[in-house]
Amino acid sequence: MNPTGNLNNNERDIERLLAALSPAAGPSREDVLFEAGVRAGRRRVHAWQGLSGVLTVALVTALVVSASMRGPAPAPQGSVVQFVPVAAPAKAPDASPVEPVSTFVGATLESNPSSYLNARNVVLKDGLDALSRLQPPPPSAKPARAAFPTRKMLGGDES
Amino acid sequence: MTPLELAALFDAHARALTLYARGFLADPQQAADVVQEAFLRLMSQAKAPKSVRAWLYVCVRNEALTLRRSLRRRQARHEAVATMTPEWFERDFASGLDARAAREALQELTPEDREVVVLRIWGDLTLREISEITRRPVSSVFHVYRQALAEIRQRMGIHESNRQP
Repeated sequence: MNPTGNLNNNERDIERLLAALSPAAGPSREDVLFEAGVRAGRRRVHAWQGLSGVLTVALVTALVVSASMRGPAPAPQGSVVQFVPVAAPAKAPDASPVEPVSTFVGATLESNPSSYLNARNVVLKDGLDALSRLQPPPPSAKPARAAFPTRKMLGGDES
Repeated sequence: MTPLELAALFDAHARALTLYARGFLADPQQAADVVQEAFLRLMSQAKAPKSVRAWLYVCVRNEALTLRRSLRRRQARHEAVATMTPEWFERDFASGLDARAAREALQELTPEDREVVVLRIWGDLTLREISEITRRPVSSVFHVYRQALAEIRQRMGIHESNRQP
């Protein structure tokens, strides 16, 4: 049964009169459609943001897992250089002063008759014929250049 | 739902929905916002509701009640807005009813009675649909409706005709 069938004529009249009134305008249709478009765009942006967030989390997780599977990082390898101050040995009271290197070398070279300097001086003085007078050094002779007196220069024992 | 379908639904129901929302909310702008929100929600639905019109009224009702609850804290402002409420109906001299008198008669009804009248007359919903929205029995809705019509007639000073149903 349709309950509206029980309305009397008076009720139908007032119903019809009221229905003839048009409700005042509500929100603008354009505003609603514009807002709908804005929300649709926002949803799309949120989808992209969510997707990129998930991918970032997955990437970080993969990096952490792979790093933990590799084991702990090896300790850094390196050499430690330690400088230990060493007290200089007391200087012997009778130690002779160190000779200048140039003097020592020059004296050694010039005292050797077969040295280059000696040969040069001879050639400059007497000409090339004088070279024949120069005697080659005996096989057992000391080398033209003596050992550099490093230990002596540092104040150590020469022997 | 396509924008064209939404626009057609909007043209058909927006005014009545706004009138319905104004039964809950004094501020006409808030009523318009509630109606707009209902249409936006409709557009975001993956599947269209079985009865779109009834769905829209339910949505407007829920939104308006939620908003009204939150407005309780700002009751003073709410009442101040109510005093400067614009008309609920368009001024139409051909209709034979004074729009302002109709609004005043509706405002003097209880919220429950006014809701039934608006849903039936301007929402064009059946009593069964109204009973589903208001969660009241159909017989109770019909009784309220008849009572509200009689009250409106009396308040607006409309004389009874002698015709029989």
